[in-house]
Amino acid sequence: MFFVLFSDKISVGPNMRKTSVYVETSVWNFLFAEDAAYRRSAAEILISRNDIYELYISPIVIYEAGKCPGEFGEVLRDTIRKREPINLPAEDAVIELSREYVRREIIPGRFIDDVAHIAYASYYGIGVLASYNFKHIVKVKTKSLVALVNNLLGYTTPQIVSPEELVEYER
Amino acid sequence: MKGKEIDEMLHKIREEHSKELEGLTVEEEVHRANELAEKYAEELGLRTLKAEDRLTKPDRRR
Repeated sequence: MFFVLFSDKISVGPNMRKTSVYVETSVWNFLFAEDAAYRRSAAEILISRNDIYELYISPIVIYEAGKCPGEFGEVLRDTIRKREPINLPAEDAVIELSREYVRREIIPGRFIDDVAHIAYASYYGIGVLASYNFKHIVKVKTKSLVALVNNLLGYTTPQIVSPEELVEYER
Repeated sequence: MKGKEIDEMLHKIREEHSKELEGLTVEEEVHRANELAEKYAEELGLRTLKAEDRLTKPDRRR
C-alpha cells in the first residue's frame, strides 16, 4: 500500500507528474534564516523548482505569514506571492479532521495550527507535507498516529518530511 | 533573523491564533479561515483551489 500511494504522489524525471507539496509556514520562514544555511538551502530548492513541485498552502499559512512582523513579514509575503502556491480552502471536514487529531491526542489542542496543517494536507490528498516543525509535525509519533487515523477515516496520508528529505541536490 | 528567533516568533503567532479560535464552532472556523484567505488572496496573488477541481486534483480520498 505504501508504495502504491508513494508512487502515485512522487514522480521524478522529465514528463512525469509534479509532486504535490503542502509547504508549512516554517519552511517559508526558514528561507530567511541567517544562521541555518543548510535548511535555507533545502527550502530554496523546494520553493524554486516549479518544474517538479506543485506547492500548496492553506488559510493557516496565510494567517501566520500575515502576522509575521516588519520587514521580515513583508519579504516573506512577497516571496509567497512570487511563487504562487495554490490555496486550499477551509471546509467543515478539514476542521473536523483537525479536531479529531486533537481528540486522539496526536498533538495538544493548544497547538491547533500545527494540527490544521496536517489536516489540510490529508483532506486534500497532498502527497507531501514539508515542515521544519520538529516539535509537533515532523515526528515519528505524529506520522504514525496520523496515518492510523487517516486510514480509519478514509483519507490518504501525506509523507511528512523536512525539505532536506524531499529535495534533490545538485550532484 | 536567526532560526531560533523565527521558531519563537511562529510559536507566539500560533499561541495567539489558538486563543482566537477557542470556542468557535466548525462552521465559524471555516468561515473565518476562508474570509481571511480571501482578504489576502489578491495581495498575495493566490489561486484558490476551485470546487470543481477538488474531486480530481489533488486526489482527496481513496
